[in-house]
Amino acid sequence: MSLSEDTLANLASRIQLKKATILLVEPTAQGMDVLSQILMGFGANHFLRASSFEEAQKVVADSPVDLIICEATLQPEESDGYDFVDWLRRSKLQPNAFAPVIVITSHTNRRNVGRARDCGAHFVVTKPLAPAVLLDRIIWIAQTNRPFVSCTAYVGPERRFQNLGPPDGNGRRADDLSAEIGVATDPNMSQDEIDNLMQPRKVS
Amino acid sequence: MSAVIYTRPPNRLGKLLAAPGGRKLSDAVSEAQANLDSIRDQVTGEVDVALSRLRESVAAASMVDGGAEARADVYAHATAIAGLAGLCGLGQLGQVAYNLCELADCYIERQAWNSAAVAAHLDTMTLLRMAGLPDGSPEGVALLEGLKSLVRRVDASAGGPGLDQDAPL
Repeated sequence: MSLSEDTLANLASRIQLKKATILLVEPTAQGMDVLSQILMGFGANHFLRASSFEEAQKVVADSPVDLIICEATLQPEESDGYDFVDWLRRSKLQPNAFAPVIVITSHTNRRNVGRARDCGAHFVVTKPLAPAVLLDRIIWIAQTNRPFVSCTAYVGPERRFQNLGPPDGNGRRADDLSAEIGVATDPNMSQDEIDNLMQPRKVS
Repeated sequence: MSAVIYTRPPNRLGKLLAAPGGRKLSDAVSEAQANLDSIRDQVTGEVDVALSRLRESVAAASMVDGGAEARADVYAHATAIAGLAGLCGLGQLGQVAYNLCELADCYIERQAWNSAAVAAHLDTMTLLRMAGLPDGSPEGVALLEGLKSLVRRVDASAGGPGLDQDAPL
């Protein structure tokens, strides 16, 4: 289901979260309070809360959710937020397996951001949470509605939504062309050869 | 080669968000900020609690037999501070905590530990909290820069720095 142009225009100027069911997965009371206050400011008022991997599993098994905001670090020595998202994507729970997920974390080292991408989250947002950033990401997810990819190694939203070209200008496949064009090896084509190739016709 | 299946699930969130009514984006952001300001004191209290727990964990981790658990606690408490301090006007303290996250993470990964480097972060956080320096104060900036260069040196041989801002996946 794609949204109409008018709907998207409305989404760009206003936000209606009154009827949205939002799952907050956050292990600390203070962190949960911060999340709730921000989202209530956005107009949301229907929250489901979980403080651990197991609680979050139970919630998504019982109720449909429209958005999940999940802290990366849950209980120590137990499965974390990335594990929860990975489990959710492969759970085949309808419609929750496709629910938009924003992972929040205080420490965005490359390993954590990589895990967030590979577990099937839509976005990772850095703590301390800035309301404007969180709202921007929620709207971005709703507007783009990335398709879901399902394969052995990955289940989640399409990750290739930016075309940045091959990494470092060099493709990884054997038949990828080099970014360096180099000097021409064939002689330039004559005008006749070009005309024969293009077959130009007079416009009447 | 394994099969790759593409599906485009219904955009339930988009439909809900775009329903008539709701709040203007600017109003939504300012209301959220006002709500955060209303819990500022509790958040500050939570930062102080985390700082005191961090102090205990740093002491335990610096013992000769300081185990992996105490070091993991240092990382966990630093993470808690980094996630909250910026919400209550203690942004610089939060940045030092973030720097400590980088350092502790790097040490844990490499199974190393430098108590003096960790203690320098704790002392800086304590100083920033006691002195009540405003965010962006030159003293705070200079302290933070020194600690960042310390982590850069440690990090140089182990991977690379963290990502600065929320990253699209």
